[in-house]
Amino acid sequence: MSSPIADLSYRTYDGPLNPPSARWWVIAKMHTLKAFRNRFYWLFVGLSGWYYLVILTVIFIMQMVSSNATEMVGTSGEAANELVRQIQFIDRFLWKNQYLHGFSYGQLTYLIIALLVGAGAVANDNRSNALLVYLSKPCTKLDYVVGKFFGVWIPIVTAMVVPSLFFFLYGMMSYRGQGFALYAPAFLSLVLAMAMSAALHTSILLGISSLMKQGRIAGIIYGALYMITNIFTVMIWAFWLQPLGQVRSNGATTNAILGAEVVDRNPLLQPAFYGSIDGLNIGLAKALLNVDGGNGFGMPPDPAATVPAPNGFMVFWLMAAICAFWLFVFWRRVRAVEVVG
Amino acid sequence: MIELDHVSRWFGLVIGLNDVSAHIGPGITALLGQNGAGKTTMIRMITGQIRPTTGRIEILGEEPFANPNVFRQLGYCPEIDQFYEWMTGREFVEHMGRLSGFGASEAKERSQRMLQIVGMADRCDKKIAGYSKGMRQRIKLAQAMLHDPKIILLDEPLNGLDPVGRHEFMQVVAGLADRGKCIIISSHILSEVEQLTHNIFLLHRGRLLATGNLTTIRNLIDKHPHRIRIETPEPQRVASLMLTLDNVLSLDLDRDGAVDLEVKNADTFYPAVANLVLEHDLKIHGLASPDNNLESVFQYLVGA
Amino acid sequence: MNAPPLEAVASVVNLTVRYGRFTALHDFSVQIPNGCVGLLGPNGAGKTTLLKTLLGFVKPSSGTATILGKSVLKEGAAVRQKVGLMPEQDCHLPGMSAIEFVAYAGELAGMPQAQALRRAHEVLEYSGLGEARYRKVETFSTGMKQRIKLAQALVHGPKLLLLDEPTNGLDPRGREEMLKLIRDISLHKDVNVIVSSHILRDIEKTCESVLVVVKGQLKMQGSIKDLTRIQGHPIDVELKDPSPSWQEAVSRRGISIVHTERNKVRVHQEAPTEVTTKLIFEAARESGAEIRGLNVATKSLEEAFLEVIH
Repeated sequence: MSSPIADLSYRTYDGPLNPPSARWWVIAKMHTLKAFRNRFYWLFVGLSGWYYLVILTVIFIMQMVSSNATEMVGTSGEAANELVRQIQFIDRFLWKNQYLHGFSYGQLTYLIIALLVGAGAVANDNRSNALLVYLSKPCTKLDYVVGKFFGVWIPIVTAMVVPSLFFFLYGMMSYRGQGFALYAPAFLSLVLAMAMSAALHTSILLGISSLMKQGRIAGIIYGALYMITNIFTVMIWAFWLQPLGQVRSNGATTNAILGAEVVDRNPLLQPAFYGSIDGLNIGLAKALLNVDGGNGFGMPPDPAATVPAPNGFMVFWLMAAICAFWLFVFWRRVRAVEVVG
Repeated sequence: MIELDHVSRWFGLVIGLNDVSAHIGPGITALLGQNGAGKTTMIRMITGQIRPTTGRIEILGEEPFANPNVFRQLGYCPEIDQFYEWMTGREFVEHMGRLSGFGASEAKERSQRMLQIVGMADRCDKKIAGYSKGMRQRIKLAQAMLHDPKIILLDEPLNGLDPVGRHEFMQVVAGLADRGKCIIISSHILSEVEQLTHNIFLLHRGRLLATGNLTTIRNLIDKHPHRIRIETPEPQRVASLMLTLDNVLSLDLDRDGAVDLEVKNADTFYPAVANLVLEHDLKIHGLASPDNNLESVFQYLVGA
Repeated sequence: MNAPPLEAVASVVNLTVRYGRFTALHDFSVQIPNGCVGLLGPNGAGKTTLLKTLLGFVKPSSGTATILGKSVLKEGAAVRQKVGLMPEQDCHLPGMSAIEFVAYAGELAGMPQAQALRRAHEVLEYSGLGEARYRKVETFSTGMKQRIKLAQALVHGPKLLLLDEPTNGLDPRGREEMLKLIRDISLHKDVNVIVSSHILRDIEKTCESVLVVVKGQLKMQGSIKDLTRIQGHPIDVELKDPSPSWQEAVSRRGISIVHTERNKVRVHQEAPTEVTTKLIFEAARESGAEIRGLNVATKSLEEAFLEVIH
């Protein structure tokens, strides 16, 4: 049978074939690897952790100062007292608050990463009729939708988790003495919040992307949606801070404000503050971490200026509903046939 | 009707047409060439959308570039189909008529006539958005003929037409040619073009490679001898007798029992074969020249 | 016309497909034979719908379809693993190089990753894209896009290949090369091919038999040879120049002239072909005409097709 001359004409493939199930993973894998191969993706992943870098530097400086302070205690009373207060501040550091800050200050880079990974995920397929390739293979509509979802979700969630994970590991190694380990379980809450937040990004982005034929347009629309809702949140925050300004201009000291809730606000302001994509993400993180946030960068919190955490259940189900809606939009747009007349 | 005198056209560094001189008269001329051979440049030049970088092009004695006198005599059926999708076919054609400068009633009347010619009269009151490719092509053709131009350019008009549509379309075009119009038709489907016309205009890499009658051109291609296939129940005998002719350059015995010959000087070969058949009482079932068609000529010329 | 051959790669029974109020296929039944089959029909006749139903893209309102013994409706995924589709539209995956794209298509079909990549190189080489395999698909020319559509349809070694207008938009050289590929694949006995095309010349060059679909129904099925045969075996004679004296000479020899078109004359005589041809040559010598061609007349597929659908 075997001839010394190889036949280079067409030959069939009779090698192994996986059973036609769970094709979504092939799609998700392709998208994930494509994102991971993108240099810009890792650039933004690095940038998204900028807060952790800042706070670690702040802590480092404080520690340096504090070791100096111990030497100085004998010489100058007043200066030393001030320094000791600083050191005490590190000691009562609410470490899980740093998770929240890291997550909050990373929001914009997460958006960029989401756009990078997800804006074209379906829109470009629409333009190039890629669906025909998928559906002519043993791939179902469900495989396509699920595969695209995870193909966008995995890179986003990775981008969110990786810098926090570095911070977590660094903290576990260096700040056990300062009570870092106490807040170790909070890291899981953070990851949970990130998972949900990534799902929100993914669903809306895929929904919009599926309506478009150009990834860029889908990206612009999602970016605009994000920014507009974000402006809303900022406006609400301005309302939130407004009575504070009055109180403070009336001569109340910071300590007085710190001491008690002295301002009277419209009860709708608090939930409204979370009425944006960014707000939902941060709100859920606050609820899951069980912190209210406040000033970052190691500054003492200002409870009166801080918007308290929202109701976690409410936020979660609202996010889930939004995800479901956009995924439904996506699902409806996946059609293999144009109806001919 | 169309006169090209050493016409060249560059686009920056890219050359579209390179020193083309030719004359295109009435009747159907097939504009052929590979992708990027310069067909589109040629069409845009004739329709006055661009002017030659060097050389001169004259249509009915005038330069076509931005020249309304020429446009009045020119009908153009472009390859792309961009319509006002919300209009009906009739509205679209009438609208184009108004743009050509006809009054409302005249545009209406002419549209009706053209729509009948292209066989769309019964279907032209539906929205263009719902038209098939063939219907769109016909509307484009109706629109191109509306002002009764002397010259009609059809860019890939057969694309996407089904065989029935194509057949009807070709009849319409042939009818126009019989009325003395100059029709230039560009197409990639050589077998279809060949049914319409034997008059070709072949561009290759911007140069004019061949122009004129297909058979004349075929006979001039010396590099490729004529292939002739003789079908016979007695191939060995036929083959040995054929070898006595000095026209025969090579001879193959086909597995199906046919004799394939390569022949030079076809003009003397055919009478010689006739003589052999009668003298030796050869049994002949068929005599054909498989490369005597547009596709082969195209291949020989372009060197594919 | 013909009894359906016993070996059928696909069979469709009483299939009805509707898009809203529009019925694309009406009570359609056909046995699609092995080998290379041409699918013909006017626009909107239901050819594409048939292909889409065979792939399970469209849910029929009634009827069944089987490919290679598997039900399209019940085991759609298993069927599609054995079928390759080259769609009419341009399709590729954005942002991928040719090799990535084809390997990915293979993985989607279920090939293990390493096999998919190996095979992708092989099919790209085969479909003439060897040089361009690391280039992005977006940068491809029309001809190359057609080839990559073929490559992605072939990568998983399908047993049935569906080609929808495979030569669309190709220039003459590209068309010739594409047809050569299709012919080559279909000669491979393991691969069956269904070609849907408007260009009957392409079908003639690649297929052995055809199905004609008109208005959602099977109008005709049979081999191209049967379709293009003309009753009574008339002979087409091509003369160098039109020659009435030759026609007269032929008529005197008892050959009837069917019709004349410039220098082409169709003649008919109830006699063995070689007897008639000899008489034709004799007549030519007598009248001084020169015979340029001589053939047992067949209809072109186009003529046959137009006859069938009218």
